[in-house]
Amino acid sequence: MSQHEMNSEKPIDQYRRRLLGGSVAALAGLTIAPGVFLQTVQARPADEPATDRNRWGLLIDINKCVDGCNKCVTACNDENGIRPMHGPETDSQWIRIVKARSKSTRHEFQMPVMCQHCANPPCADVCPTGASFKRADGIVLVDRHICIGCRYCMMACPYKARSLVHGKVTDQKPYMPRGKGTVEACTLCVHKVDRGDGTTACAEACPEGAILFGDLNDANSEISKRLEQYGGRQLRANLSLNTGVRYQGL
Amino acid sequence: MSIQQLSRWLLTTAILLWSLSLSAASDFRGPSRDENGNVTPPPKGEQCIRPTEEIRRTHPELLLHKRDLTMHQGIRTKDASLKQCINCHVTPDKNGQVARAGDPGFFCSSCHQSVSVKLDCFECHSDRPEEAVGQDARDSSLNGQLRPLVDKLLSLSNNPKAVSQQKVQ
Amino acid sequence: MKNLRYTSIEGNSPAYLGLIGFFGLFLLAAFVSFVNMEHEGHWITGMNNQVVWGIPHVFAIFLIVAASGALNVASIASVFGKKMYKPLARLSGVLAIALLAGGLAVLVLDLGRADRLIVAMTYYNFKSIFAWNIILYNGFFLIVGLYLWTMLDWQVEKYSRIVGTAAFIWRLILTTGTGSIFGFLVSRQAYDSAILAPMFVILSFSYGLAIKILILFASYKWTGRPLGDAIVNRLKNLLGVFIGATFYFAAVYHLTKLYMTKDHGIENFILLDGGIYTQLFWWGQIVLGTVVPLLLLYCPRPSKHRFAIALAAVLTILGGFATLYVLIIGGQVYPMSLLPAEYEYSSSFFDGVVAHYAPSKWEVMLGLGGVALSMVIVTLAVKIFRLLPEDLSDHLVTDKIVIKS
Repeated sequence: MSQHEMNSEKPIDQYRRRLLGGSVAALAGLTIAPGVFLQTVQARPADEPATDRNRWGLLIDINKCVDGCNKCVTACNDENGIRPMHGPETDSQWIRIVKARSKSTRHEFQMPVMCQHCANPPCADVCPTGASFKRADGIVLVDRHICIGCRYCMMACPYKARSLVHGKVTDQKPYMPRGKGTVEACTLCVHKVDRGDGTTACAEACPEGAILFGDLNDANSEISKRLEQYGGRQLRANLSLNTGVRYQGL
Repeated sequence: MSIQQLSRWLLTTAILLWSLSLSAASDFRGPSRDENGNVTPPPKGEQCIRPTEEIRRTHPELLLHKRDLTMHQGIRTKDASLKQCINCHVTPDKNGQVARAGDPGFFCSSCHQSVSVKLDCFECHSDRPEEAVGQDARDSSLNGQLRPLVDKLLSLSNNPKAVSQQKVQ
Repeated sequence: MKNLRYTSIEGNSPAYLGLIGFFGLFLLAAFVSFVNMEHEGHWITGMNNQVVWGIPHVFAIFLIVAASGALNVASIASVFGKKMYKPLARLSGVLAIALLAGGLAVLVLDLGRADRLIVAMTYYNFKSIFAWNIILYNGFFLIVGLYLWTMLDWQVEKYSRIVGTAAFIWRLILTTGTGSIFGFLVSRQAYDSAILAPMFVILSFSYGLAIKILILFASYKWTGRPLGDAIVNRLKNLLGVFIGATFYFAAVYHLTKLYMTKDHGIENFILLDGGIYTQLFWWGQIVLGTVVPLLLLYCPRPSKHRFAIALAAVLTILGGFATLYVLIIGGQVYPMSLLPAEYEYSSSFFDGVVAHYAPSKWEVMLGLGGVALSMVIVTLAVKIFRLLPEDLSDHLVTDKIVIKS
């Protein structure tokens, strides 16, 4: 079509086009609007602080964890910009697969282990500057602005969940700053939680649905219902840390 | 020269130098320019979150206060968010390249190198805008998955000419 | 005792300057190491995500613990009224400050973000024993500084008893705090024990006195000042008592853990099949650090010779390093009990296996730099201040004369 022909398009055709486009958009909007609004209700508004109305946690079903699979680990590394740096002894690991075998019963299993987001975190107790802290909604985080890199929290953590960033980091994800000399650990994908995604990277990535994210304070959430029905054990439960990560099949 | 004369001479010289430095400082008009006389690439938005003179003075305090709110309370508004500063101010130059934190063409460095204040932010924070990084956090919310679709549908209804022109080409 | 004359040393001889230069080399090496660690990151050291505190911390804790113990001699004089130790009190105070400065320097320079020391001084989490320690260490400098003032300035000497008592109590709290750094940790089998706090207090007595004896011998020998046997024998016996006490605490610690089945893992590791850690425990801590020094100090033939006493002090120090190495590093390499003992387990994060740690040269350089810093401070202090009595011969210091005057 030449430029001249296009300009001589009749007004009625323009009107029809606009009407068609608008109707399709309206119809599509009506279809998906409930979903959109539902999600926005779950997401906390950006200017509202986190409160203890929620307590975020994970439920991990060990029976569903497939032997040899580590998709959750890969997903976490991708999500948070964690790349191999100077070798396995010094590279950060926010989540790892622990393979276990009982010497007495010969039962074997594997399970993902990450920061357990304790309600009484020893790491927060020992941090001299208060950089290691528990947010009101239960997520245990490191404020890397005031972390001095003393690694006392790493000594204190009963789950060996924390890592020191041993070398220079570049190309960080904009939503997950991390740098040399500070300590880090699983953030329960706090950037996704705050946006209202309702899940974590590891939970999303698990093909068997072994990891479930949810609100432990909400009795109607999937996680609470499953915990009520089947129970959920803590790792090192004798330490009375009241972890936010619970395991079934342990 | 006697002690008195010497000390008088020293005092005069010191005052002279000090007043010279004052005038030199007042020549500081803004970001430094590269060898072609260009400032760093212009920011995306219409205006900054505060007037220029104010933001120059107060941005450390604003950022410091906001980081505590974000970190400890999860408040993620765009005002004084470092990520949003970068999204707006760190823009590609004419070759489509985005400057990195150490380069003189980097927005923050353009002033910070002149005034000799070391930047600590980019030890940890990404120095590139979200679109340059090319990948946002995997958005698993329904919002995130449907947003591109909704955007496209809305753009259809707003500009039918654009659609028809696209079809032609 | 008669009024002893305290004089500063001349400090102009090539030997003196050479000594400072010698320590200066170590300071330089430590500086290079620090710059490298700061620039590259901790991956160049032997410390990793499994063994997070390594050789620098062994040095730092040793120096900090010894610092509090070095004040002992001064305390015995001022607080407990044993006047024979009074001549040594000034040097004790300075040694305490010097050792603490050296230990803290190593600790601070090893931080992942050493440039954030100001943050550590301004943001406090008062539940953390580490935060309390920062306050206690700074307060220690202040209180010992005041204590030295009461000893050096005759106009305030009457406060010496009160300030000395305050310093004594402060340092007990400080060393308890240092021991509690480990004692409060539930994560590892080797820690999580209330005995670590008093054990560190007793360790401080032993290491502090050992260092004090060596510094005393060296400074009197190298300046040609007389040092009588009366003082030396008192110090010798005191060191023997302290070494015996450290053995007692180590014995209680291990016997208790041996009794509890849940801790058999760590005991097996340290006492039997922990490789280098077992060697260090038996040969380092027990034989060289306890048995041989006790023999040297108490058997009649060796104990007459100053060389034997000095050797006992050196061995005590080496034994101290071995003790702290086994505690701090051995405690970390032993796998954490993530799962109950019936499980054997493994992961990419070295769970369930004995971790690997090999000290790197950077860490050793940093640690030795801390020791050098302490030594430089003492060496300079004896020149600047009047710390050493001119003459410590027996007839000047025995108690008989005290009663008379």
